[in-house]
Amino acid sequence: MPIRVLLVEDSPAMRTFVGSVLESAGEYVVEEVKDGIEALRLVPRAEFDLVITDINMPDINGLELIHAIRQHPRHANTPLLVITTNDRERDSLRALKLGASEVLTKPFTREELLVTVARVMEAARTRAASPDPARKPVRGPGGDG
Amino acid sequence: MSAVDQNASEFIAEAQEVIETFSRTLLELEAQSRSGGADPDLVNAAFRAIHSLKGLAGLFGAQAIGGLSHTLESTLDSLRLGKLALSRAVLDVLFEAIEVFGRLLTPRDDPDEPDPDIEPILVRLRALTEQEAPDLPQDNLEWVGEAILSVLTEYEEHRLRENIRSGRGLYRVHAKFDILAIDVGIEQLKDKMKVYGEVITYLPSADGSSDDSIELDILLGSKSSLAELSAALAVGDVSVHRLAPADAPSAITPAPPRPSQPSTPAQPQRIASPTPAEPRSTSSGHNGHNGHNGHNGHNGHNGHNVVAAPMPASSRREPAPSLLADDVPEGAGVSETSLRSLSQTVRVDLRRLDLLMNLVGELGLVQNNLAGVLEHLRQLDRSADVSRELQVQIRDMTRKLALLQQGILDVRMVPIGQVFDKLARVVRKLSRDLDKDIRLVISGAETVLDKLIVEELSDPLMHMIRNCIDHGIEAAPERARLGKPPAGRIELRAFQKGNRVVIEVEDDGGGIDWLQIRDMAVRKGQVTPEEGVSMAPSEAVNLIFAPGFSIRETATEVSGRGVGMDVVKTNIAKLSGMIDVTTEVGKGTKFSITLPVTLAIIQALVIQSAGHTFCIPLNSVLESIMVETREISTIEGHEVIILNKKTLPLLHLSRLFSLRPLSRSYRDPHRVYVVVVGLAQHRVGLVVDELLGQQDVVIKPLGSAVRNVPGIAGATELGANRTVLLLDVGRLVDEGVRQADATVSIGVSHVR
Repeated sequence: MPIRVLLVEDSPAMRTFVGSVLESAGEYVVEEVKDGIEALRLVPRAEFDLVITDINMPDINGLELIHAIRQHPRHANTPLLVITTNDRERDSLRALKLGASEVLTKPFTREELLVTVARVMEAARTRAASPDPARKPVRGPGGDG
Repeated sequence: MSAVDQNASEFIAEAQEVIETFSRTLLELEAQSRSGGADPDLVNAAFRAIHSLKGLAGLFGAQAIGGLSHTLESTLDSLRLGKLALSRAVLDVLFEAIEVFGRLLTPRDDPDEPDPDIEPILVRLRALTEQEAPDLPQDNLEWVGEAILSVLTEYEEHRLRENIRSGRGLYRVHAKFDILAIDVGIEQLKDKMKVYGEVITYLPSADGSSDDSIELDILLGSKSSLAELSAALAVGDVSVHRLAPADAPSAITPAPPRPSQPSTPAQPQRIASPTPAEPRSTSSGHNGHNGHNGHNGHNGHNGHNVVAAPMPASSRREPAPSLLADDVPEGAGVSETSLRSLSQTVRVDLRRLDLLMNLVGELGLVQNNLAGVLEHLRQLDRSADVSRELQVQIRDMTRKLALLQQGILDVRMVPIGQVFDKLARVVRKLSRDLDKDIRLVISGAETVLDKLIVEELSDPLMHMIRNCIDHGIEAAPERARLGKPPAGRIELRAFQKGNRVVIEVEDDGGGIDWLQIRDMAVRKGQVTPEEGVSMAPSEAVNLIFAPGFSIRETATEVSGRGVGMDVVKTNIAKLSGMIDVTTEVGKGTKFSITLPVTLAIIQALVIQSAGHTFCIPLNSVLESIMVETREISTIEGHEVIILNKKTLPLLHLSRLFSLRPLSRSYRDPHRVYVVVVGLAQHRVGLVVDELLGQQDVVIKPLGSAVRNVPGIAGATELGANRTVLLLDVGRLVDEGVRQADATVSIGVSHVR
């Protein structure tokens, strides 16, 4: 069963890059959206195993999106990877605080992306196998991995 | 290999687009900063443009561009975060960076040639960042609520602080959107809100969103009162709430009593939460985390607030008077949209469009053939029904084919504004270099032309603008003496006129003195003294288009000696265009360029000479006349006729191309057809045997065999698979003029 990815990124080039790297790796199916609004439309109705989002986006920024996604019962534990530029350390920290699983700084190579995504997914699987007592029990994400 | 090339050219195209957007944004920012303050949204748009360029460069491994955008991004970040003021010096460095990007993005002939050195610009950019103002003591924002603060990016938090510092009230606009209509809904609300202040961010509302609706809390900084905002915004599923520190509930704008209906009484009012202090009504109300810590100076009277020229609320309402006012009517929103439009654009190689265009042309031939079949059918009585049906279908196909052709043409069309932006930068730089204050007024930037034409226009227009600034516009003391406004004015206009586009460059400078031109031409031997005496003013002025002519006796640094209006004219002629000039001494000069909208498909006059068929671009045909052979006179072996009291040199196509008659068609020995063609101010008559009619033709490139034949510009196909050559009117006119120069002194004819 392929891993369903929601990719939120306003730069068309970056979106295409991330999307095509993941899809060509074989095990991912990527839904690409260009901003937070489109993402919010999908969040309540679609199943995702992984969310990848930029932070600096017009209107709804990535931090707000992370917050909203985490509020949604279905996605409270969905792995969430942030892709952003290295200068915005403060924003990266905030993302982690809001529940992002990991931050990957741009620019990154194809390999860095694949390794990071695999690690995030692996961490989520481990966590699902031995539930962390500190976390609120919630309805699990769509599949087990 | 070719995939790599394609990637590279895609990157360059996209990067150029980003730089164009960035450049436009900077020009507008400069105009704004001159008239008060810079719109923070616009500064942010500039930052975002370079931010995305950096990402692009990273993906494509373009190191120099990546390095420059990285450093530039930091500078812009400092600007948008208010750490650096948008001074003239800063703008200079930013514009310099655009020029460096331009060099980096220019394809180099030798792939091993190293990238241009970016170190100098990097040094200048870094030097700017060192001037950054130290961080100011930060106001306490706890009263805004942790739930909001925790999701703001650094930039948004900065804007929040700036709004509070400048004395604006902070509002939470709660809106519920249908999930299917949120795009439209949010844009409409955004437009409304922008009139009243600055939208800081959009927060997805924690509570309400369901499967078919999305609720947002929008943070708005505004000088307007809660009542005003509610009246304007609170319609339908929108409500407005005020955020304020607990101990200063109504310090800035007291909430009005509920019954009053201030401005628009008809509006249904929904002041959702009329209690005076309502920090708890943020979406975080339930987390009990709001420190009501209002004792810190939050209302902008701490004297530290002028760092990045925060935009006063008033100047946001009325669009700042901008150099590009005609072009970009509403500031911030525009550049944001244009950045976003990137994702809705598909870049297509023009060659692919040419291919499609050829196919359409060939379909047109098929259609002609079908019409022939129909004719045949008609002659067979029995199939009347069938032929009627066929006729209906063919007519339908003809219509759709025309639409398809137009559609493909439209894809090639780009706004001339792309070039105008470049020119705006040139004006900026030159007016600096020459210490002349010059206002550039642009109109019609949205006028569209074929992409190829737009690209070829950039150099000629650049030359003309240089001439305007260097030769045309007087220095400030001179202008003062003449009672002219101190700032010179250059107007750049584009507009559609019929099926052609007219571009005008007009200045309010000194104009061209025709006597001076004439005397100089005589002195240089370009015209004889006798010619000089009988020369009309317009003829003399047109001498500026003669090869090697210069208005100045001495070369200047900017335009050199005679920047070559002859080159400009030749370039325009290559685009099947014409250039005219009108001028008045002391008042100014206006150049008008008339161009076809596209070169890919043209209307042609189909003619026959010695049994061979040729096409002549209709846009250079002035008239077709029938001439009695006795009207033709011969001067030194060259034929001419007198037309409208002017000498018109004649060219026989059959002789020019050494054509032997293909068929012995009947020809009236006493009459010939003359097609009068003209480019710019020159006229030549082409002697032909037959005029076959007008037709739209798709131009195809020539094979190597005839590529270098002078006088032939291309080939096209007419019905029945006949390949027909298209005449190069520019070359023919040159040929005719050369002959004429050798015979009679026709000089230059009237300005059209």
